[in-house]
Amino acid sequence: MPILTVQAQDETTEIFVVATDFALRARGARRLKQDLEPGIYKVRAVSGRSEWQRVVVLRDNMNIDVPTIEFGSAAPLAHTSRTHETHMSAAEQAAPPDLDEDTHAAFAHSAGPASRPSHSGSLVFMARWWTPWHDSGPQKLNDPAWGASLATGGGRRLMSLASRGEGARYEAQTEAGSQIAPVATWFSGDLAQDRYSGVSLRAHPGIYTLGLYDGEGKSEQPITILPGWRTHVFALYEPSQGGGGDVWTGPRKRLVDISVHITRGGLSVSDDIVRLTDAARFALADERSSATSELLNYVRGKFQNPMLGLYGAHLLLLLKQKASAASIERPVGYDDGLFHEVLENTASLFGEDHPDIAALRGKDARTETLRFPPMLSHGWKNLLDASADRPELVPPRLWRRTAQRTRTEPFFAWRIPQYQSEQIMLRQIDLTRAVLDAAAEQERYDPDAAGLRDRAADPKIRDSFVRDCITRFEAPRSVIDMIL
Amino acid sequence: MAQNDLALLIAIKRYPGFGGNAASGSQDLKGPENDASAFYDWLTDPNGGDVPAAHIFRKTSADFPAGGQIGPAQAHLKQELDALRAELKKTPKKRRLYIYVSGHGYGRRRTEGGLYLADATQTSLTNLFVTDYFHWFLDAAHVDECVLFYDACMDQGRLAAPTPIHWRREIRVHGHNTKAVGAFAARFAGRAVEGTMADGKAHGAFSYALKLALEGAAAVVDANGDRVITSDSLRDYLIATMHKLMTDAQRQHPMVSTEPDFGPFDSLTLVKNAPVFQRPVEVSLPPPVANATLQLANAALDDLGPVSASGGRVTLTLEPGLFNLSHDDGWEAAFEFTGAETLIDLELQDQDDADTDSAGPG
Repeated sequence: MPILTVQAQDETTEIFVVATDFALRARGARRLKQDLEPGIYKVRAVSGRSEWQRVVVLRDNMNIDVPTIEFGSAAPLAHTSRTHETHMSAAEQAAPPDLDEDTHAAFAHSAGPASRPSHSGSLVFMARWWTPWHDSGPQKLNDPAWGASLATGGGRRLMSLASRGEGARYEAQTEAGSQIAPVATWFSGDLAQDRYSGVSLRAHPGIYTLGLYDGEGKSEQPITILPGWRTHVFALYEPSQGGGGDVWTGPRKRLVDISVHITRGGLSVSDDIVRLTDAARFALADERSSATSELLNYVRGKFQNPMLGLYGAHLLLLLKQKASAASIERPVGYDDGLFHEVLENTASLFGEDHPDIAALRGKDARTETLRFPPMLSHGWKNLLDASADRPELVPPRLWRRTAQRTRTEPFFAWRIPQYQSEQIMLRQIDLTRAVLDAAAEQERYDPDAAGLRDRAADPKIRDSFVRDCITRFEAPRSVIDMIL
Repeated sequence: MAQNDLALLIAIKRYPGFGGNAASGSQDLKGPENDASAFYDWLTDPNGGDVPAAHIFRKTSADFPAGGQIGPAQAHLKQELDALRAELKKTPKKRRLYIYVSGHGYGRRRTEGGLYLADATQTSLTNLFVTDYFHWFLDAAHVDECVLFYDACMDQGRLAAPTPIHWRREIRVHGHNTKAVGAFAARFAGRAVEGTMADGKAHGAFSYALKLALEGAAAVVDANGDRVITSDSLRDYLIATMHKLMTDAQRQHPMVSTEPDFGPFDSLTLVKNAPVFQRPVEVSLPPPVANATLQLANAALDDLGPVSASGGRVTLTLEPGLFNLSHDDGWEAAFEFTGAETLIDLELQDQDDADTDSAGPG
């Protein structure tokens, strides 16, 4: 029988071979080699959320090279579908001002020796518009960074990230307190169409909260600034089309995608690893089986991409948990040794007390109580699961702060509603009612569960019920225990 | 007739308050009523689902004309669901329950989601947690088989927590014997899309692919030589077809899911003796064979006879599958036909193939 060999450029590409009845005949990750009856087959390759297809006639051995598949990303990277050269150039050139030693020293001194900030990390935030329909003409689009803000990990507002003046590039005072260097560089461009704007600044390493606005209000999510590294955050917005058509109508400003990269210094938009990191992000968001050994090679040893380490570790964990409706088994499996190697490497960059590392370690987390939520929603799910055995790990205040969750997979994000305290109170009431209803239902269904609501049930039955509630209501044990 | 089958259809097209300050109707959809009608037609077709009309519980925006009462809302759907549950509990035990939903939706996690209701507003996101009801039917085990078709988005948006199911759970010891198939228009946390399809009407891409599939496009020949549509063949067909019903802008959109999702997934035979599905399709050819006589072959490379091209076009009537057109001078091009295409462009494909294929030891 002839052999079909398919090889893809990207490490995160999933490959499928489909027969005439549309049934899957073979699948692979990045490469596939399969002997098949002579005939016609369709080769599908999926990367990010885009795919490439080719129908081939197989008579003799055949090699197929799958080209780089363009996918849409908030980061204006080479070989992605939603970018302009101006956006790419701005992303590459974005850099914070050099540290003025005198200013920095004076500023650090005024902060007091006990809390002297190092400003050894940096952040580039870039928001940009993208109008995918070209027949409607340029639209007047405001500053895409409008409403964006930076807060401490605990949520105390530090500064606005929106433009502060006119000009392609200018420096201005941050007035954000000691954690942020006193001067930052703002930049903007393409004002007539698909406008972009952003800011680059130096900051004390740690966990921060990024606030973003879209047509539905404000959302927040954690970001991390590591010492000696630069965190790049990209937010992609689209206007609504209006007037109907094939693209849905919607709020005036739609947050389409968020991309986060952490690099040593500047970001190279044509760096394959950066693009691979975004492909891995989509793979995690869509829970695809893309954790190839080649992908994970990039996070072995002394690697240079902390976000890829997080994505890779979670992709591996997915392989451990995932059930599939597909007719052919996926070609990659969970490797415990590899997972722990990736975890240790990633932990050496983020630190053991980082919530995303605690999330990957689960109940073996080497930290007592988390102060901040994780960056990734898969991490939050892991932490909830771990809280079943370690109730102190996820305190009620973390759940309360993030109670109005929104989905910007794979990131963990939550809404800041207009009447926040009232909305959170309603969420608490909803949860309390739901848990008590479930307990009453369980007591009716299972006589042995009597006393669940009175703290009088058999401890084993209660524990089993609480674990079920953690999954069902997406709340940590500390909160469920308060209700029951 | 499938006397022991039942169905629940919910389709919400109008969302007068969903757009907040935007004009009323700014968040309306175009496809749900057309999709629900198409699915209803298939359900009642003797060659389709063959479900008695009295066993179909249907609530759509068509029941609530614009300008009148806003619906379907929670109360309307509870009434319909209660009636369905009462019918399900009657003897004899029912064989299969179909659930079809279409509208604006949300996802909670993978293969868990629901519909926003017609009276949803920016501040009150009324919703029906569809998959919670689906799992209620599985746990209660009043049917042997339960099939869910869910054509709605799977992103969460602003919804913090879905509204819990309004029934007490009925968990039976043998409940897990209920076979189930869940088919979703979008992977979590992606969006589903709609557009104008070949019939000139607006449809959801998922629902239109489902319509074609159930009309026979997803049929395969089983070991007995019968044409059947199974859960496996349906899944494979939907994956192959749904993205072809999207525009380029939709396919490239980072939030749009170009693939459906599935779960739970048991092997079921959905249709026995499925009708033959054939559709005409125009094939565009490159200049060297624009007016040539070509040989058509099927996926097994069996010769299906000559076809004559004229002016760079040839019209073929095909069943879904993979085909090859070839010419004596060595030119050949293979293509896929799902039934969703009206034009297949081999002129463009010819150029792309030259860049990627190479015969060799492999």
